[in-house]
Amino acid sequence: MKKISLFIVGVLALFMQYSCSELDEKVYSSNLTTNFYTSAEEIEGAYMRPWSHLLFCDTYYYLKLRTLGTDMAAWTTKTSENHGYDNALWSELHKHTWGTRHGEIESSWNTVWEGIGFANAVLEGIEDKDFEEMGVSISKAEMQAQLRAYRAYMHMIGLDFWRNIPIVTKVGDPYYPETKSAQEVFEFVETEFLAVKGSLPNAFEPYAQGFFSQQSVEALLSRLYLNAETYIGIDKYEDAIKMCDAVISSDFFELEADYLDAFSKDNNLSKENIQVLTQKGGSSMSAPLHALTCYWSNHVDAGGWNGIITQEGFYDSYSDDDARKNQFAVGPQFYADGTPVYIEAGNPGSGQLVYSKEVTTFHSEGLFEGARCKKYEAIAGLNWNQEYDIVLIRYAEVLMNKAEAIMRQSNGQADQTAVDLVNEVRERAFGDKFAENKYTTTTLTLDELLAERGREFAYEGHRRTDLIRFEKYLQPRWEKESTSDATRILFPIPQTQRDINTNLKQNDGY
Amino acid sequence: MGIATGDASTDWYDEMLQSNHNTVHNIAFSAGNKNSNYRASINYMDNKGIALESFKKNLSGRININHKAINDRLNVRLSLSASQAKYRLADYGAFGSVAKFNPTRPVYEENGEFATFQEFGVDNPIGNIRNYSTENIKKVLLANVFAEFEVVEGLTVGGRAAWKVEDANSGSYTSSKNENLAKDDIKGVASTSSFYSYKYTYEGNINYRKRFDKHDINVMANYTHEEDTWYTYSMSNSGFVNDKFLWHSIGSGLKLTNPVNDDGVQDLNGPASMGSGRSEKILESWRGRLVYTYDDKYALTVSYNREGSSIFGENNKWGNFYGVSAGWTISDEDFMESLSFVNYLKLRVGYGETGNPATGPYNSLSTVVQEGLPYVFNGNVVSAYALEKNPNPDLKWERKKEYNIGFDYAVAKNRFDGSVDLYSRKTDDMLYSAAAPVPSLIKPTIVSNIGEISSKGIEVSVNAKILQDTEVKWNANFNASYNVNEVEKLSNADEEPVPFYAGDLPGNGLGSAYRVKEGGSIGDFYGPRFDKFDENGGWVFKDLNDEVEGYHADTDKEVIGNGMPNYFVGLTNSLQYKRFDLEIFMRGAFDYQVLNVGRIYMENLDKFPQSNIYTSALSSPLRAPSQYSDYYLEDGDYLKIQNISLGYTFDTSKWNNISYAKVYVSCSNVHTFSNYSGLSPELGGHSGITPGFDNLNFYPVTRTFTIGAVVKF
Repeated sequence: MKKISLFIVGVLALFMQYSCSELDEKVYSSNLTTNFYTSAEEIEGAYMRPWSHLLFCDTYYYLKLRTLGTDMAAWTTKTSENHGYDNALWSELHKHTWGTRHGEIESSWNTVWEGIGFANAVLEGIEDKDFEEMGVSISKAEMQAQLRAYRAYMHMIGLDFWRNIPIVTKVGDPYYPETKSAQEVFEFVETEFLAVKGSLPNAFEPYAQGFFSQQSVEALLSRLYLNAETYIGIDKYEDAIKMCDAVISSDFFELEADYLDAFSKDNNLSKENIQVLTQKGGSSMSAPLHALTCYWSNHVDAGGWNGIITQEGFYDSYSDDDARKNQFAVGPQFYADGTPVYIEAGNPGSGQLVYSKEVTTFHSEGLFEGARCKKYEAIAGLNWNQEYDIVLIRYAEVLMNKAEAIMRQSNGQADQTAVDLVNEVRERAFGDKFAENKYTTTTLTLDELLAERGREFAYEGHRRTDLIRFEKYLQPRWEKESTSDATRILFPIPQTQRDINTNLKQNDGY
Repeated sequence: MGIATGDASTDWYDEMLQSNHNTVHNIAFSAGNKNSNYRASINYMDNKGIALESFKKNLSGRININHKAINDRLNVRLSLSASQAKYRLADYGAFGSVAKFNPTRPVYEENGEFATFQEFGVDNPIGNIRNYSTENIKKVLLANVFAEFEVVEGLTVGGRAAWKVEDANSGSYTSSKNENLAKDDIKGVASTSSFYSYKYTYEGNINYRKRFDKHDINVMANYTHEEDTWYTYSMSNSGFVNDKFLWHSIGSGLKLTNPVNDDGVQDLNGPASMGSGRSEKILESWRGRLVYTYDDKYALTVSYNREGSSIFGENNKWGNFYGVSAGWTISDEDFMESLSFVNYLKLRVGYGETGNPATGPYNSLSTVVQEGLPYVFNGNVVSAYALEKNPNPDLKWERKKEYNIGFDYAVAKNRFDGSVDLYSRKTDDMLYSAAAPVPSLIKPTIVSNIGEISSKGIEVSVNAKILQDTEVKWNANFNASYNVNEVEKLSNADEEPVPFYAGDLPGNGLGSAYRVKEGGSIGDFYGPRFDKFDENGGWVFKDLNDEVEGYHADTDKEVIGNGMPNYFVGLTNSLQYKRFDLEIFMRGAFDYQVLNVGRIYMENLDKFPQSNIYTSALSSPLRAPSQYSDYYLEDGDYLKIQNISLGYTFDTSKWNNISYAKVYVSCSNVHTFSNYSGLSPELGGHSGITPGFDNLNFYPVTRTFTIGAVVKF
């Protein structure tokens, strides 16, 4: 009987042991958000995420939407094997025939909002934290200003691509944000930039490198105001000039003597770069321009996707005396030490890699048609983990923006100030041949300015916005045979999102 | 533009296959007496798969011990089993690749190396398999102890404890000869990972049964606690001196000991990687059940379960589930005596609910993890931290409800028996990783309780002893079912109905094949309707929407088919003649469509020679990129001879020491009767949210012949 009692006690004990057990989840490999932002290291770690996101997205996703529908570049289909066809993703961008489920447009949409979400999450996380007590490297006011400027910049990308988008300042609230008018989005970007500017550091101050500064916000505002007529139909050239003047008079910046120095491996220190996105060799996967353009990059020393090529007419718009032509890889390719690059690495029998500037058709017979942009200085052997910083905005743009704003205030007529500004940028491209290449008030027309902007800012993500502002984006070009409908100025809101969020309105024409 | 082709003739599909064989060994023995008995067994299986390089070897052992004591009032059972499986899975994706691969390309170069097509951006699928080594080892240890004691007559108290330890290791090595690695001059990539899980279950039972007069009462109460913890570890390294070590000397790779190059910066693709993780979940339940039977004719069962799971939101961890059912054995009633044709008839009605914790842990919690690329902060590289996933604090139990009415019967001297069941099932608060609104959320998916799906149907089964007292005996079993489902509710957090789409089609802009929408059915294909090809071989689709003139891709779409069969049938015929027996099993599914994704991809001349194409592409008038429509939907109706087996049983009555001996031959997947033009209408599957989606990446159906013998001593 004793055994039996013991057994019953055992069974009952079993019941008792777990009858009040906890069903709360314990996390082991992650942090509860409510238990994060508790130290300087945690806060600074969260603060990194929006920027590392932008570093990747700006040159990877947004560059494609900003260039592949223009006269500058194209992601062509190559050989009878349809290399780079990618189910028409890129030819649709070239021909302006994208639909509401275009994968690349959707990726850009998602990453813009992901970035905004990252910034909003940190803003919420640090709201009631005492930075001084925790010893965070920068003040709370500065971090909040940075994150709001970041959020405004991402909304500005959205404004440029889709125009009518929600304004989102909290994660998940409202859960289904509604579309705001371009006017409202424009005002949000402007107001936020202006509101936080004073709390940001000056350019080149500690902790400003790779983040926003008062001057980078002013420079971005000049870009915003220059496009105000396109975005919201209101002329803001006066404001654009004011912002350019603020940047110029800060005296922090000067043009590099050599065009490519702004893109060198040490370009974080370049006085021309108003804002960069910083990387350090080996720490990030980012050499997107080389990956997107090159077949085998003798600069990165790794295989790329052999995707984006430069359209021949665009390449030919550079005169042979123009130093900026050196940003392209054309002709037989060599490594820095002079040895040839072979089509199959290390196999001379496969022949030397030769890019031709000539491009036959969008669907080309050869693999190596078209000049490839190698603007950034890469370190061989570092592969896709490069040292150079990605340029978000540089001084040359501020000078050109001011010149254009002046011209637009007088019906496209350049005055001497405008000409001097453009010539200041153009001079270094021509060096001792500048005298015969400089602009005058008669030669600097709006068309010429557009072409010069193209040459100066190739592959820096301005071409689509510029063509739209100069009203040339819809024109037929190359294998885009007819003028596209005006509604193509805006990309469609991805249908996948409209299926979920009925508060999102589709842009006209889709 | 000319079409450049190679000059080889390669059957890539054939290259992907290897002849297989299968060996099985079993040994078992048992012994015992009135109070104790045991059984022990060891099994060994060695199977080489039909897909190149695939295999599976399995070793397992098991011991069961039963013991009774105290006048049989105490009953103790112990069991222990251990198994180890070693395997390399077939590469399902490769079955799709080889089907698409250009047949004019060779597998090997003249020098015996794998042919490379790197200038075309595609890999040699056979080279990829051969230049990749991998092995998985999975060990499972199960221990189980069960005890039950009869306290007084009718009252038993019992408990069970079970432990399950699972340990899975896998290693893989991609040789430096792999095309992609060779291209970037990477000297081999090794990785190894392990998964260790520990699960225990404690259970307590009280059961009371009392019979008096014609009453029979059975009350049961149960408490179960289940805790599951798992750990993961992984590492990888590359840059090996040769291809000899595979993943067995992972520390010798360049990236671990020398992650920087001569310039003092990190080399190539970053350093060696490693990771570890730990997760757990707890399930707890209280169950009660009462069964009351009167006169063995009337039965009533009432049950209540209260279940708690750690994986749900803070306020939704517990769910209550009820059940009630009743049975009436009509054939035992006096008034049935006159109906001698009916041997047995029982009517059943019931309602039951069950909870389904069908998602992983931590989906309700907002968590932050190291994520994405690091960034440089004042000259220092700092790891970035961000939200792991969209949290859903309202996550709750998925609940299945079922109403059932049916009867069991036996008639004509028990020559025919079977059952008929009518049911209506409903899944409420269905759990699904649904698309999330971006904005306002950060990630594109969120695990949610998204809707209600109902399913109604009837199931009929008949067992017939057609010929019994003759030299040839013939038994048949027939079952058939009819089922329709409906998505009754599918809404977002604002309770606005929103559809979602599933079944991504291969190709940009082709979108998804299925729409799941309130009022629709699971498996609805949604798209345009094909009208004809124009003179240039371009698509002409039908104008389905009267409001706007002409065809518009966004509006002229409708439900163009459904991939879920409405009817299933199964028929087994067993024939016996003297010592021979023959069994034929057939089954079929009807009234549904299959999307032949292979045709979208390969029934198009444009795809050649980038891809292999179907011969039907040559006769197709299509000269435009493939687009999704009902053009690619085909009726999936099929009837299949699943298995035929023929056996002979020896007369062992005069044999010494042998009590039973039989030899047999059998063949499975004998033949499928179907008009479907793809490999098999079954491959798309009949379940999930994308039924009937034949996208080629499936392990092919194999026809198996088996010859066997069974001998008992």
